[in-house]
Amino acid sequence: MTTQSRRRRRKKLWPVWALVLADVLAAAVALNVFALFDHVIPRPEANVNGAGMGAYRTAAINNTTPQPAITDNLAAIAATDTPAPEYQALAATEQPATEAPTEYIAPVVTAEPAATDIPADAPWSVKFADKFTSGQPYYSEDGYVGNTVSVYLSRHSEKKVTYADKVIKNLAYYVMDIYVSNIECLRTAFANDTYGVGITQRMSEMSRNNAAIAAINGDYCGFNKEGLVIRNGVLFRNNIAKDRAVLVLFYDGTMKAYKPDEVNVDELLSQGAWQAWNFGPSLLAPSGNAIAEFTNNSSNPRTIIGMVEPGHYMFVLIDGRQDGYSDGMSYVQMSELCKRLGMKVAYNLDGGQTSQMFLNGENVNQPYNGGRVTSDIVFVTER
Amino acid sequence: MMDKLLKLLDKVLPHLTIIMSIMMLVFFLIDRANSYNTFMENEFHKWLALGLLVCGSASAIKLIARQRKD
Repeated sequence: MTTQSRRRRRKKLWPVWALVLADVLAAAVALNVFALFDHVIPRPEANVNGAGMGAYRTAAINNTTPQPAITDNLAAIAATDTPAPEYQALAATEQPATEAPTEYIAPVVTAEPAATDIPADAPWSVKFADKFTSGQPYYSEDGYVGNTVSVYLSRHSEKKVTYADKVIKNLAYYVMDIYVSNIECLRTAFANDTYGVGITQRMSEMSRNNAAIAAINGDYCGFNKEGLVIRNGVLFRNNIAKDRAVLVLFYDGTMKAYKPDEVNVDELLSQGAWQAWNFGPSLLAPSGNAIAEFTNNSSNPRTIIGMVEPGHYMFVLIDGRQDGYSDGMSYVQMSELCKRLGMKVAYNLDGGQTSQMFLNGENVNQPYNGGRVTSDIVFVTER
Repeated sequence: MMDKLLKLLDKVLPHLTIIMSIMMLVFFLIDRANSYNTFMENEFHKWLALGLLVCGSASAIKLIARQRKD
């Protein structure tokens, strides 16, 4: 090879900037391929017990086929939850609805038993009897009163309001005060009724498909493979996401938040874990008091699930990232809000663009950028 | 044959190192912005880190060898 031809070859070499640019482009392509396989392409997965969600639901509804181990536990717990004879007469007056709900017109007029007559451990159908109706369910844009579920929605719009010593210029949030007569009314559902990674659906569709009276987004457990997933009594994923609190709703109606290192999944299942979410953080201290410090202080749209007492729960939706309408809230501000609302346990679910709330199939809030598809919802329905 | 392979490695190694470094940097930044993405804990990230370590070490060894020759 002559010196001249060598020079010609050298001239053909790419300049350094072009080489670096090519590398950056190659990295971008590699990242997109990773995102495609890790997040976008749906991958249905089986639950830990080996049974699918559809099989569980069919079995639970028909009560004909043997249930997985966890549902045996739940059945045993449920069997002990039969109302005492003195309450059975009262409970017997409540019949499930056979007709479609009608538009709400008249206010609820029910004989309210004196608080002192009802022991704290009375069945919820007795304890919260004044919250349900024994007749035809009725609904309005502000709530729903049914045979086994009632939902009261309040809409809040505040300007220059102070939470946790910080002023929020604009704040819009929605509170659903929920009473259920049995824990099976508080349920969860996966997108397309399928557990897996990358499987998503519009919340409006999920809400409609599951006959949800009230619904909020869940913890987006299908985003990746991290985090504990127990849904409607079935263990779907048995790993705890690092540094993220776990919220467990037990079959007896109690709710408890755990630090990740406190979680023993077998123990939770034996205690009758009905639902478990792994997002967080937990918004109230174990004493029920507000927490004064969190590591993240950014204001965003948020979704909260909380418990006032077993049988009485709250869904809270805070809109955000929308100038002139609502700025959103930080964790410390949410903690104070939950305390003010009277919750004993409160937990942050997925937020941001995912934050959405539905009542009777209608979108209640104003989601950031119109909302987005997600992998799971939390909802209440008649049971 | 061996010479050709080494030459190819010589050309490819720095690019692989740059590409994997950029990917790790993106994962790190996204994880800092929103740790719920758990990119730093995911299995792919662990293999990427291994690849970067191997490429980085090989590039460094080749550079040291070249410096000693010069």
